[in-house]
Amino acid sequence: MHKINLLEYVSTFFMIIMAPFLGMGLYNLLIKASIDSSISVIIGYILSFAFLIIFIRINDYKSNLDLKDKINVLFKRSKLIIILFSIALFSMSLCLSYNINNFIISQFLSETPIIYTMIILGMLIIFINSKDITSIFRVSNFLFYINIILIMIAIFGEYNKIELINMLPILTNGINRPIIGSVYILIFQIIYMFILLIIPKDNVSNNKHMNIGLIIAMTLAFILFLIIIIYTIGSLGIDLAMKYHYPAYIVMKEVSIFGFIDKIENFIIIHWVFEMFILLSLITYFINKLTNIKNYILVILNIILCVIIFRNSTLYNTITKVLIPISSTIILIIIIMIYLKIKKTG
Amino acid sequence: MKYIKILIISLFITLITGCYNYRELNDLGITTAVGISKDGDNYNLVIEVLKTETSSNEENKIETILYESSGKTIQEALRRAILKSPKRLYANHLYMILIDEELAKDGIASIMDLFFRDVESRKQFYVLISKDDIKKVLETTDEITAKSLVERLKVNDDYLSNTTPITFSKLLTKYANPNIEMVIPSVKLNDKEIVIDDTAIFKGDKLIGYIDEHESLYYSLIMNNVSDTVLTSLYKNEYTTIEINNTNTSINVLNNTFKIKIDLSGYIAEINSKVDLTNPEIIKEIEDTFEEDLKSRISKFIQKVIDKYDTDIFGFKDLMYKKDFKNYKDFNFKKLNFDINIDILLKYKGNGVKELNA
Amino acid sequence: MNYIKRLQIETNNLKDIVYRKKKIKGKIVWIIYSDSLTSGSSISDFIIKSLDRLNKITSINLASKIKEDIYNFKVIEIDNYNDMCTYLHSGFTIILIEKEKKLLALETKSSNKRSIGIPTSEIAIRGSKDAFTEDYQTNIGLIKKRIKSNNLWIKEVNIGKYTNTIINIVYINGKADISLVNKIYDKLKNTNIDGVINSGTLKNIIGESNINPMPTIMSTERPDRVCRSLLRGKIVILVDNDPYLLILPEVLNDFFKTSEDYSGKPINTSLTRILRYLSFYIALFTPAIYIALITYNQEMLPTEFLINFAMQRSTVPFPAFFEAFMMMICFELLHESDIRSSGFAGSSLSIVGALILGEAASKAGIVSPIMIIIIALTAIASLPFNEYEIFNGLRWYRILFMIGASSLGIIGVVFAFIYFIINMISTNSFGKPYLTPFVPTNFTKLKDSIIRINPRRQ
Repeated sequence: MHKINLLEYVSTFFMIIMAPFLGMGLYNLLIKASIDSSISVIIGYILSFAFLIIFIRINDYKSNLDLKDKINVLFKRSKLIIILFSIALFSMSLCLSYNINNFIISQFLSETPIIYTMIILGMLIIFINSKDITSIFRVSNFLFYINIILIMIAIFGEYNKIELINMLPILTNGINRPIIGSVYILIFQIIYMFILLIIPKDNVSNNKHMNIGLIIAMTLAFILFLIIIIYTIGSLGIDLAMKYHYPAYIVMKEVSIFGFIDKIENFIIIHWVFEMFILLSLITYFINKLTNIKNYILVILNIILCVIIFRNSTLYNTITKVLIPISSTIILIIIIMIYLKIKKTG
Repeated sequence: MKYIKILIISLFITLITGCYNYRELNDLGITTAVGISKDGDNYNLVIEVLKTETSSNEENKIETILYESSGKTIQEALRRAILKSPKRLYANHLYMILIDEELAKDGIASIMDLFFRDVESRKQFYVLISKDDIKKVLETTDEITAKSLVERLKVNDDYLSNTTPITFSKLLTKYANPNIEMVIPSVKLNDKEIVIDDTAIFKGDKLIGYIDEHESLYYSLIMNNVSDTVLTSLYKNEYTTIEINNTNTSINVLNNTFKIKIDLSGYIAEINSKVDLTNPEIIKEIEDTFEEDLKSRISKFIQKVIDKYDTDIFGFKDLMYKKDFKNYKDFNFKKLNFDINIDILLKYKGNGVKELNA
Repeated sequence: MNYIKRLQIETNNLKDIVYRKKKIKGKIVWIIYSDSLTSGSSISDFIIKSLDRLNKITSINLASKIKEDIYNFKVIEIDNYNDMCTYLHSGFTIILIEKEKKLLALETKSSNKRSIGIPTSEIAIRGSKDAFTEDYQTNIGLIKKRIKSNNLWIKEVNIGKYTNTIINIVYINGKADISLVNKIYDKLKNTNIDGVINSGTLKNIIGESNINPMPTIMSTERPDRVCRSLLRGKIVILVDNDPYLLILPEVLNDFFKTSEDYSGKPINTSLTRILRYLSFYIALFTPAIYIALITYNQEMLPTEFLINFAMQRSTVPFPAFFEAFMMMICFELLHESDIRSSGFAGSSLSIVGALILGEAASKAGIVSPIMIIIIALTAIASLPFNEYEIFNGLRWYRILFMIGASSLGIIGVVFAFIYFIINMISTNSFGKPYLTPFVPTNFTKLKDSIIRINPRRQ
């Protein structure tokens, strides 16, 4: 089995963290923390180091085993933990896949039933999971390069349309709202970084520099969060930004390069589709490795449950507000339990 | 396993025929302008659509055709236009919407909501109020009325700045913000010719009054939206014009007083009195005259808006909310204190050193 | 001996094989050769004359004496029937000594081969203008003229039941991957096919069975390209009777390099390389993006284009994707017929033909002018590569993107692109990942990919 390059690993980490932001993450953050979203990004960055420390410690312990074997080694009732983990992660992936497919259907193809894009995306996920794990990482490395170019285009095409005064006033109601906002960032986005624990650390070549690479990726991701929030609130105003379902996409409609190329929002939003694709395929790989359920069964279950449960987007919003925090908390509790057990045993 | 893959791929291929969102270009009725007015309970719409069939003459002239339709809500009226037009309306490349004066006085909330929610439309079109009958306004030329009007607005914005053209996206931002009020330009028919007229000011979503073209220049100055303009005033009993090519406005709030500082720079364009332009004191005199004149006019204008109309179109309340949040609750628009400080810098004098007719 | 009887029965008394009987010192010596493959003068000059001379010398062991003394330049001792037939059919003369039951084979090949000419299918602007011929020894000679080193090793294998073709695997010891050489050698030795007529057949035998239509083996007829590849550590396979040699393993980046790149300034070469990559992407995406913009995502077009296209398309009765497919088929027909008629790369004629046909078709109202421009652009952009297989490989992906665009618009193209990327990344060209300098990112190799830096390395 080939080893995974460190650059591929770190770029996958970046893509996974960035993925939910442009959809549910930004929407929920703006609702919770409205004008103080920038402060909550900064607080979230500081708090995310705690997650990173837990991640590095769990990764270093017995670095030739993957997460399933580590759980089997540490706990006696490992089956229960594995099942809980998988169910929590699977329900989060339901929300994610509905998010991206709803976006595609509602913005581009308003008369197509949502099941078409779900099937096609599902087929692609099955296809990539039938290849070796190194293929997933290499694909995400390549898509990372494309993403960087698209994000640069979006940033430089629009910096003269924002008014920074729209970002004021900050911290008018105390520090509560930003802290809740930062917890939301952690729950909705950073929690997915623990999926990468499925790769044993020894499978990554030159892993001495892995820690620095992860810190760099995390910093880059948070800087991009901050930039997106500044652009969104600065260009639309906070009141309007809270009313849109996908405010980042609306902001991208204003990008204009050289004054004449100005209708490229469909082209730039592709980077979000790539990130969600990588995240969904890695979640499928993770659950497959943990529970040995076959890939196509997982994807088909995903599609069927999405169509049954989420009938319209309002129902989706209300269910998501409850489902994701519960699932994230379950995953976080399991991870902390693993961490404490590792600390105890050695 | 391979057979299942092939089966699914062939399912994908069958999506080609008759996939739901497939629209040929000929099926689109490309809408360039929508005019909205209200008649009792019904909304009446006048829609300008491009004719895209190639005509027999190879002139490459693009013609438009007007459709009228009505309905209880705007969306119903838009959809009912299919009774008259052979194509489904496609509003993505809209140039402008034209709102009738009477409807604006009643409130444009429904229009704002419709275009905010519509997925297909981009929000870069311009919004105008029409003082005359909308159908007559859109009927004036055979070519694309909306496009020529929008180009006129843009040119005006670049060089004269005495209208305040606004796109729908910026209008939405202002509308959603409870601390600032909307300002929309208006057009009028002047003997078969469309003329850009006064600017309409709003309170909430209702039109309450108009400000004339000089006043809208002052409004643009306060909002820091001016790029190039000309100013005329009396100097030594003769009318003199200076041309401004750089402006910068900053408003600060201090002890419940708004300090408006406007910096202008430009050059003398036309001077009719007999003075010696090589003397720097003369230049300073000209500058001072213009400054005084402008200051008094802007003060009068702001006071007029406060007293007569009572709408915060300048965004003073918004500025207080953003910059001085502690005193925000005590803000009262009627008792506004402001203090204007204008600084004009005349850098060049054009070609001539002295005045020609000395 | 009964070898001769057996040979006569098996070849059905072929008149082409001549049996000459001589008596030397009381022992019967048979001289067997194939008339069409040998040069009669060398047989009579060297073999028969020297056998006559040996008649005057006494010796017990005639075979070893012949082997030492005969005038011919190559003598091989053989001991079984199959080898005798092989050498006989390769133009050797067999000397059969009955009493001692020994066989000798002497090389007397006639020279009915083509002389070295200029390459007909690959343009050499600033390179050497000699090309490989059908004779494998001439070809090896052309390689050895350029690489004069002891480390140029050659492995030889014969495959083909009826053709018994000689295949040579050439590599430089120390630069090439020995395990790959052995793997190819084993695969070739264990194949069981009727015959190998040209080197393309070998592509299917040793090539890995990928679904990816893009090639992993390059074929060329220019010696300077072959030698440059050998110096880079690649393996070259020669097939007798075919002037096209195979170079493997090739990754996608290698198809964008030509040998003129190395005889110019690196800055200028960088622009040419960027142009080639750009034409690769234009050839893949242009029809698909056009279909997607016209039928699903009209919001991405500027308004003037939209009006223009709408007026053009109002005269056309077909939907956009059907029109695109039809024009593509027209172009492929033109290209294919042009190859059969006038040579390998006479593509300028086919493009002019497409334009004229398109002009007439648009006047008749069957296609719109913009579609003709799109197809012509695609056609021109898919040609500037140094390997013909890329043209065929691009066709499949172009169809995939067009299908994606016809069904879901821009998002369909994005999904098809993801499939394309997964396919390209997961193919391995004999162990090397297919997108090598880019995806397992190798910063030193990246200096010679899309731009050229640091010309001191080769």
